[in-house]
Amino acid sequence: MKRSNHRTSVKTLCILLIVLHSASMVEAYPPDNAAVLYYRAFLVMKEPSEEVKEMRSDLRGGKIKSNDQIKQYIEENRRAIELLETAAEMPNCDWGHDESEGFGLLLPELGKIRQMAFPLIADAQTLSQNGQHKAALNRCMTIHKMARHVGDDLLISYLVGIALNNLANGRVEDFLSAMPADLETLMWLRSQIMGASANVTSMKTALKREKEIALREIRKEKIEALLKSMGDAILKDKPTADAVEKARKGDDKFFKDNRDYYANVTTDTIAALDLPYLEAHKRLKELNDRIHKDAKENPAAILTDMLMPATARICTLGTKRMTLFNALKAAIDIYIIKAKTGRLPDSLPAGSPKDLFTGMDFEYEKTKDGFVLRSRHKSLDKHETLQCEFKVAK
Amino acid sequence: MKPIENTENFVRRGKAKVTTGPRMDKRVLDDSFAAMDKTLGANKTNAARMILRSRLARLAAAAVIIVAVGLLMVYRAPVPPPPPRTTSVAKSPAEMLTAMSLNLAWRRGGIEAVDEQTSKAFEMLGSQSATVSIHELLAESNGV
Amino acid sequence: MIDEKILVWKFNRGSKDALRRLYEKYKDDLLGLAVTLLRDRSLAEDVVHDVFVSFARTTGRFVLSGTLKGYLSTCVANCARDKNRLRSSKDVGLDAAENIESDSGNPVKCAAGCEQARTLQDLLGRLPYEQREIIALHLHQEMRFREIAEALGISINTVQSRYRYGLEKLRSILNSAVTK
Repeated sequence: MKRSNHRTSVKTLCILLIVLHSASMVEAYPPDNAAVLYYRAFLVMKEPSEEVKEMRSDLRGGKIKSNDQIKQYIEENRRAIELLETAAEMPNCDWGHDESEGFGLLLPELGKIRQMAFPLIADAQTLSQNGQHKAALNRCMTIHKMARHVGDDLLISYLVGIALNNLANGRVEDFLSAMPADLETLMWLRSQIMGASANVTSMKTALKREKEIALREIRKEKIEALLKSMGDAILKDKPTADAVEKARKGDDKFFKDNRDYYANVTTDTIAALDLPYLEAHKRLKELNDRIHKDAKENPAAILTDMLMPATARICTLGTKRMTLFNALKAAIDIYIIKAKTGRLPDSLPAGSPKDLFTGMDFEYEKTKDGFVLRSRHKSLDKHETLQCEFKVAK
Repeated sequence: MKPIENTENFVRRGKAKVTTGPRMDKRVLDDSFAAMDKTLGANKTNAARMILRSRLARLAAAAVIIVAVGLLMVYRAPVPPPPPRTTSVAKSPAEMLTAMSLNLAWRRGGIEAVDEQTSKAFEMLGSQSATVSIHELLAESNGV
Repeated sequence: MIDEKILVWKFNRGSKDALRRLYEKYKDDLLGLAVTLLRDRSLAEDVVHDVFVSFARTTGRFVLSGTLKGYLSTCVANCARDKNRLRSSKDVGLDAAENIESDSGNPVKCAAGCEQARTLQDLLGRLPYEQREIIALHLHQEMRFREIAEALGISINTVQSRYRYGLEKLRSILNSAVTK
């Protein structure tokens, strides 16, 4: 009996200590690094069942409306959503990347933060369905801020950031079609979208950082680790496997030449990004093809060919993201006119944001439900087509 | 500005701007690496000594050696020729979450492939229940 | 800062790359401090060398409290003081500042840097070593008085008075140079 009492006292003491410790931590909240809160959100996020995952995806695609199971899933993740919102508002986000690990650098946050965006989107859609449009749009702005925090340390971070921006903007497009003409909310949204688009990640920054890492990694003493980090992808065909063998046997000159080649290609790529899209894409495509061709004849191009992703495609994705931002800005202007005059304009307002694929105005067409904004760039590449359909809520 | 602050600013601005040269860099790094190797070597020896000092550990070490030799004798087979040098497939969760691995996933199948690879990596790591009570934590740590 | 902590952690696990990166990060700064204290390039290089070799020996058991820059600066100051004692019999004249040159192979860069710093180096050279040390640690290495006191094992009052006397003396030297 005595022993049991003693045990209880020890347990109570332990719990008290934990509680007191937690209370002392409150003073340090929120920390000055958003990454700490993101990681905390990762830990408390509850994975949905396969069934709810499917529902979530259908909800995003507009196939179903939010239902009880989705609402329960959102409630179960309420704490995670709150943490995400707090984190997204913070100015600093340091993921503590250890760049000395080169391309072996661990980036667990990239996938996790994408997954974290899904409950936010589901919550936003549920809010919009309940008529809380501003709150729903605000969730999308949180995702834009998260995209900014993902950063542009590397091209893959930049790409994940683009995916997050597009995820949020796709829903903004939906919510605009569903909400009534509320001038105040529209003006607020306009300034939010302007802010988000001005604060996006940059492909140039990512390229510069990758160059710094690549120039440290393209070295004789690091080649085995570099090849290992590529896994089996480098054995996919004979030319690549041959190139790997050449790299393994390379001397100091081979690595110096490869570093120089990589540096020159990055410089040319960065310069091309200053050109209008069509010229930039053409130039990058030529550059990508040249690297691939050179790698067959010139040993100095081997490692650039392995390490440099298709920059022309990445440039297209970046342009598409900004064009979608511009389409939303143009659409909001049209909705503002509708809110003020009671009718849609017959043509795009003067000074409307441009379609960045062509540098021209969007194609504007009134439909029976609302209007359509279309890029004038006609291409077979699915990444280059952009059409946004907006409805006018009755 | 006070005279003392003037002097302070003057001193701050006049900080010696010297740079090391390649000769010095080589000398410092070579000697530092050698010192590091020596320390690391000594640490290993100390650890080995410490293990052997314990009687129980000595017995355990002997047992391990005997078992290892036994296993070697039982399983000893002609040594196969070394396999052609290939690069192992990235399999561990950590390997799946590196910049290079995620880059390659993106090249393979876009952002969905990145999502899939990350989810798989975290699945392999095992998921932690989102709601762990203090009681559960205590139970876990106390082994109750 | 997170990056530095990771490097220190890796260094403790025997990573030479981490040691190399820490050296690259602080080498010029520490050499500058040693040159200011000793006013002899060759001796200063020896000091930085000795400090890094000693630091390398701590692998596996190095515990960072405070900043690494502060720690290494203190090591340089301590080592420089020892070297200074050793050569104390041979008084170093003002011309010792001429030895502040680099083997970096970039004479233009070196000349520009040296030219700007030379006047101050000359002036600091006229101060007693103890005062020069405190001034360099506080104004160049941005260490607080309390940190300096703890690192050098002297009281904070001593640190402050050495600093104050040093600056006063520098000011009077500067004033007399202007009135001449």
